[in-house]
Amino acid sequence: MNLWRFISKTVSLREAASAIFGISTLLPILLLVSFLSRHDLLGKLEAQLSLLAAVALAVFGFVALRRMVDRISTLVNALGAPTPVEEAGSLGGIESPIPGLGAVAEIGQLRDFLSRLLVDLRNSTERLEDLVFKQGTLNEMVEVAARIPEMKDLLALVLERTMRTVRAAVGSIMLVDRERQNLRIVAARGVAESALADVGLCVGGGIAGRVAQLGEPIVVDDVEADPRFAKDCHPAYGGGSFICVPIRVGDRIIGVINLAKREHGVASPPTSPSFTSTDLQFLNALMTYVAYALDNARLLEEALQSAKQLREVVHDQELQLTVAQQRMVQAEKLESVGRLAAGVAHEVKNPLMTLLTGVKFLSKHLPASDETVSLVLEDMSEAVRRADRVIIGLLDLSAPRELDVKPESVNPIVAQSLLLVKHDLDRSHITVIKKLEDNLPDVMLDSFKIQQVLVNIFTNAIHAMPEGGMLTVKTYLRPPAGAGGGVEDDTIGDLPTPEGAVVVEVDDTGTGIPKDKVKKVFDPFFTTKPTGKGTGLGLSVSRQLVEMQGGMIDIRNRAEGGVRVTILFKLPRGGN
Amino acid sequence: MDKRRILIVDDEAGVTRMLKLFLEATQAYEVRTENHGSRAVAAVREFRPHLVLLDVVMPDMDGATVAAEIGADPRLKDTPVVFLTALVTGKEAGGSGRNIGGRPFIAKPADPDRIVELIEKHAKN
Repeated sequence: MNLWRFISKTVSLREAASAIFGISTLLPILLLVSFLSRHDLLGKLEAQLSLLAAVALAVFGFVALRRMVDRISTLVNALGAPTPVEEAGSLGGIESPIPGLGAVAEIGQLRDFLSRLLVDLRNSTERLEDLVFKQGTLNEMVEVAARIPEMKDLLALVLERTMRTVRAAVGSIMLVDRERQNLRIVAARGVAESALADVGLCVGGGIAGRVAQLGEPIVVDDVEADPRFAKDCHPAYGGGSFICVPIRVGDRIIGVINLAKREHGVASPPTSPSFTSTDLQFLNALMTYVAYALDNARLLEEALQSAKQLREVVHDQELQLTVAQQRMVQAEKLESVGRLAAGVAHEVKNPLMTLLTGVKFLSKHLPASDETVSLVLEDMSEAVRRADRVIIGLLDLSAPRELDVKPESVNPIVAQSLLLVKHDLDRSHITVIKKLEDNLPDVMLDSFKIQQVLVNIFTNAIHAMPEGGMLTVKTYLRPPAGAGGGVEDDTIGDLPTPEGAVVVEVDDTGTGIPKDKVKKVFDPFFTTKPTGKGTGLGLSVSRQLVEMQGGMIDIRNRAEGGVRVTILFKLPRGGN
Repeated sequence: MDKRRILIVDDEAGVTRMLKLFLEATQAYEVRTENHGSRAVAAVREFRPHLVLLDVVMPDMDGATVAAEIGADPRLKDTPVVFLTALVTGKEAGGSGRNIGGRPFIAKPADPDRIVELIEKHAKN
């Protein structure tokens, strides 16, 4: 049975050596005991030969055992590990001479040894592969970081590669907001976007907050069991391993990278794995590279943002400059007209005075029965008044103005102006439609001057509708440029109103302005009215008055016929 | 009833001649004209008008100076002065409450009937 056990099963070298030694020494001892009890047999040659053969066999067995043990010892020594064989040899000091049994045990030992060696080799290979992968990732990141200027793309790539390299299932990158002293998630993977919407950690709070504050990485084997973990902020992380590494530029911590739920490697044990010291080293090295790239990307982004803002400012300035230049040209034009007017006024008004007085004298002293004479005198009188209106218009244009500007509500001024022309509106059978928006904010203006402007515009509209028509007056709030709000007018769409504005819109259903003359309506002395009906100065003066108060005025033909006049009063900055 | 004495001072001879004609035709006024500002004060001293119609812009002496000299003379300072001016804007001409140096004015070309109204309003009795 024992022999069978030796052959069929793996036995220890100590057992084998004992068995071989026992077998090899048993026969000579038995023979010796036999011969001691039977002295007579010692004289026989056969007995002596048998005894000799038995001793020789024992010696041979011992030598065989000794050689086997030596061989195994040599082999084991060569492999560098203590084995039960060696222990047996050294402890027992007796060697088994059974080569067959020794070989079986040796093979068993070798198999075990080789299995362990293989596991070690696999582990080493895996570690080596891991290191090579990490090194590759590092190299790739160094190269890529220099090439990707977009902060968002860079962050997404860094997170993706890092998670792949350390086998993390969940990860995020948070950047420190210096002004608010908190951490803001700028990239995340393995977590639903909605779960991150409201996440914002204070510097110093939670694990990420502590890492951002102290600048030391933190590795946690199970976040469920760690009281430092701000679970409220990270419902998606759940349990498992977690690592948080600071991202720093010099002494400045610009953010942290969080990685969680490390996944199993090929040769990892079936327990939940933690992040290793190699992972930490890798992350430290990677974050050093990434930090500078992120900082550069941030600087670039800030520079681009500044450049964009600068461009907008320049564009705005250019626009304002253009408007200012146009106004200056117009002002110069008006000034020269004004200078001329002041000179002409004096020279013309005196002869007009003479004429008017003369006409009045004649009308009183000529016979009343002569209708022709009366008609002539009336025409002469009207001619003098017309000439005077032109002169007054010119003086209006050139007179130095002192504005009485204060916060005013536009709607009452519109209503008052309509009242002033009510008689003319009724006489011309014009229907007035008022659409005045309630609760409009006050704007800075001189109400008297604006009333003058509105009366002028209403008078023009009345003259444009001699057969009657419809005058629509609308006021509304125009939101700041770019704020949307569905403003329907496009008449002054090109006028810059970054602060928003109160708009007065006057539509008539009259004859409109001939296309080629639309651009000239603000020129002094330009008129589309029949001779004697207008001086051509009303709109020039109106524009001057509106612009002096920081407002704008625009006149266009309406697609459905008639004219739309739009006056816009800017809201005070920050007063919307 | 004695006619009221009106002195018209204007460098524009056409204006003074025509106004004189118109006012005298009413039979209510005795009118004297003067075309030089510098001689206006002397004319006031001599003529003792109930009212002076005074042009503002005149080459040798402007109306404001003439008015100031009248005001500075104790014997003349009560003489009412109404300015006639060609240098007012439409709005100023339309307004009735405005005055020049505390004195009423009327813009040229003025309706002579309106001038008569002003004379009736401001002339000394």
